[in-house]
Amino acid sequence: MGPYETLLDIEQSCKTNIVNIPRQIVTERDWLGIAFKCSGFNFVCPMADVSEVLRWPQLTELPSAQHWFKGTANLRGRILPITDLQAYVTEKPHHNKSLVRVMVICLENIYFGFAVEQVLGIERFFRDEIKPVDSLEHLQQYLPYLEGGYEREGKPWGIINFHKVVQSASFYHILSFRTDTA
Amino acid sequence: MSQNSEEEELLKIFLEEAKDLLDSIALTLQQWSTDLSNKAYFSDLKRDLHTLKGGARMVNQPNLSAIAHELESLCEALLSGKIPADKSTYDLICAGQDRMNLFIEALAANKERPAVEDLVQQFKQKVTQEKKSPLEDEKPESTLTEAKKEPETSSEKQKVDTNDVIRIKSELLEKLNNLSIENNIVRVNLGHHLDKFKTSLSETIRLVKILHDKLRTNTKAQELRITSDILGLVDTSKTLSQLHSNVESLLSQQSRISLELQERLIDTRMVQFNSVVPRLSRITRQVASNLNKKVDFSVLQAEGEIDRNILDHVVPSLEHLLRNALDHGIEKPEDRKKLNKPEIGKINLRFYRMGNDACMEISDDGSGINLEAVRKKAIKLGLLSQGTVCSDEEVIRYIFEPGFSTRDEISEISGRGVGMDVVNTIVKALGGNLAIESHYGLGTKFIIRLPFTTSMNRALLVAVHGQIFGILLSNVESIVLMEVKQIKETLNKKEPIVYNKKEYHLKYLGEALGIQERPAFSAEKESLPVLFFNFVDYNVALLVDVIIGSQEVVVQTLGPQFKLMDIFSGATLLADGKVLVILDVYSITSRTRRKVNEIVETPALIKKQPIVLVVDDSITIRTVTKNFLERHKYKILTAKDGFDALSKVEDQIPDIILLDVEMPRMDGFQFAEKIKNDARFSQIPIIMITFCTGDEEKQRAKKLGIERFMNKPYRENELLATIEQLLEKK
Repeated sequence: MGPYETLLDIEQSCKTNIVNIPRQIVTERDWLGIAFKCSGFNFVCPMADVSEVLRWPQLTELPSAQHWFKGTANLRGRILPITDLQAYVTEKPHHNKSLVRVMVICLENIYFGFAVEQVLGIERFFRDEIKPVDSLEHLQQYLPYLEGGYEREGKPWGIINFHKVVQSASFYHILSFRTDTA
Repeated sequence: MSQNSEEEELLKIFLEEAKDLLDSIALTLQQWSTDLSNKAYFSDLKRDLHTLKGGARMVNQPNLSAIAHELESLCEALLSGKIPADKSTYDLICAGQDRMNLFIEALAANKERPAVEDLVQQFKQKVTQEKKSPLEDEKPESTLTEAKKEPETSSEKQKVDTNDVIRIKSELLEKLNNLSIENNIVRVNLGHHLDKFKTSLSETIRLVKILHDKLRTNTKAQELRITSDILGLVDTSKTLSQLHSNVESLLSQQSRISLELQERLIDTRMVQFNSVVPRLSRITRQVASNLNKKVDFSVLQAEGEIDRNILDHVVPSLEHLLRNALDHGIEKPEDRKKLNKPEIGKINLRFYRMGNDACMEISDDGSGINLEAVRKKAIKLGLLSQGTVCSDEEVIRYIFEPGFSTRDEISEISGRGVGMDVVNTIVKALGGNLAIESHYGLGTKFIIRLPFTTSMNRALLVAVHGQIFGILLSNVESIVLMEVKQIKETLNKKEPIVYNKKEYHLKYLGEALGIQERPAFSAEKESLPVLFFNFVDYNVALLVDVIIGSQEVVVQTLGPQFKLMDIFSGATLLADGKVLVILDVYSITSRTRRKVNEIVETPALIKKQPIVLVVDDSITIRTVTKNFLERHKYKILTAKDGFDALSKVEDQIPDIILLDVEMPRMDGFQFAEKIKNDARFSQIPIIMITFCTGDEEKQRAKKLGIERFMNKPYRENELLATIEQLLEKK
């Protein structure tokens, strides 16, 4: 068999044994989000809002800052303020530092860092699964920041809207006049 | 008078526009000459002439406006067939075009403008010769005769820059500037690393030398031939040392170049402060006349440059201070008489440089601030508790609190209590400070001190309790090492320190920041550094644990999350990549004085600015209207014709639309029809502003549901009142 015939043979066998490449199908019903944990609850937020996820960065703490404001970090020359989401919402700080990640949220070209308990990955679900906020009572203090939620394997997932977090008034009161702390 | 820089600016815009329009007219004429019977060209001509006429009126050139008007009428007559489109008409229009070109050239070169009367007459005759038309009686400009004198009088004022100028988008310039700043930061960091490299290298050389000395006498080493290796190392170290100094000198060359580049770029951002003087004096005149007060506004000193960015941001604050001075400060003429004051009040403006800062002073000889009223109001608002002793200067600062106004009724001009706090915030955000000197009954002086540019700065790195902070060196008056014993005494007694014949309150930075109340006085340290600051209204001596050094920094803002916090004026990056926060010493030290206050819970409500869409094909009119309305706190969108306006409306719904009629692509009526028939937009009030004042147009506008019809050129006050009225209705 000459080289040309060999090539033809290969082509033929490729054609007969072809397996369809799985195609990425994102339908209108689909919704992709970054999944993360906070206060032991599961949350997702729109993928487009998250520009990257960081390990705990080197921080410059600010004097007299609220306990939930962790400080500022240098993100490739950009100054990133970092808020502990759980501490901000529930007043309780994170314990396990090893899993803590900082989600860099970009809203209208302004960057905010939010520390969360753990980043789980990408979550896909259907739009028609979404339940209204008032059916998610167990997510307690997180309710004001939710856009809705859904259930997966018996576990509730809240959809966090970071715009709502950033728009809440206390978000801008980073200073606490800690005259009483040691 | 000095109100002419704004006019000059406007003239520049108009000249550019006029050149474009005349080019377009020339092109149309040329096309027409090949096809004299084609009427399609007349409407194009007419539209360009119309726009030119509008612009000429705006820049107060009645002769040019007259010639454009007559030519427009000629085109109208051509369109309606009243006069024939023949060679003689063509020649006449060309003559008109030539004359206008000459006029524009003369205007640009600041020479005497050519006369136009002869041509205007010829045009009039042409229109009337063939057939009596109603246009004959219309007198376009009553100013023709008096305008004759005008060229000489205004020629001195209008100094138009005829040098070659390229227009660059300010965004691009900003971007270049930022890149250059970043380049400089990297250079500074590179320098630090090079220094560290040098330290390590010297250490290596030292160790190699020791090793060499030890091995030289060691027989075993000679056996193993280590000595020659060591000699090699010595050589390599020397080479490295040489390379290091080469790199160092290259870096210093590069440093010089990039600093110069940076300076040149900063220059491009500089504008003369007096460019805003006309705007300020106009506001003063306007407000004074609204309030029936007599005032003499004098600019004592306005020479000097300032960063455009800073000036743009601070001008609304200056306007606010002027309005305040007129409304709250200067008394009514009759009251002034009773007080034995001259009937005409005085407001002075001064601009001057002070070190790295630019200072702006607004002073009046009005009634001054009533401290008792401020104190009472502060107690009423819960900012101050009854019986608290505080100095006059502390009381005055309460007027910077959000929502603070001692006025019971709200006036049109000021007194809404959203003002002084905003002014203060803006000045702070720009890295400056605001001070007040006021004497009840005698007057008030506001002093705004701002950095001359927002770009590069030098910062002092200080540490308290192991935390490092930056303090802009330009703020520091001097640094002194003070004995611990004396520090302890002063802190205990709470007495001011006298330094350079001035009194300073000693404060520990750690305490001011809420980190630690007292420095950890250690036995081996006999003295601690104290930084002296001279603010316009008070002085402070700041005690720190250690001064680490100083560094060139580029201050970046900390972002919107920090907008309510005034104790940090920004941040910068250190050589090791850590973020260094820059402290606003003024706020920090004044904050401890205000510790009794709780944080104001909600962020100051930002009043929504109504959005006005200005639709006009003349850039001159768009610019004038935009400038004027922006001064009155409106947000402005502009569109060059109906078509453009439609897309603007789709993007952002305006609160009101100002609409021209004659425009290319889609005229005012077509646009209004689309808007009024669209349920999303039909509620937006429209003010039609036009030269056409015919009843027919008015009827048509009414039918379409257009709210108002106004004549061009509009009167500013009238337009403002109409807008306010319609917005209120809405």
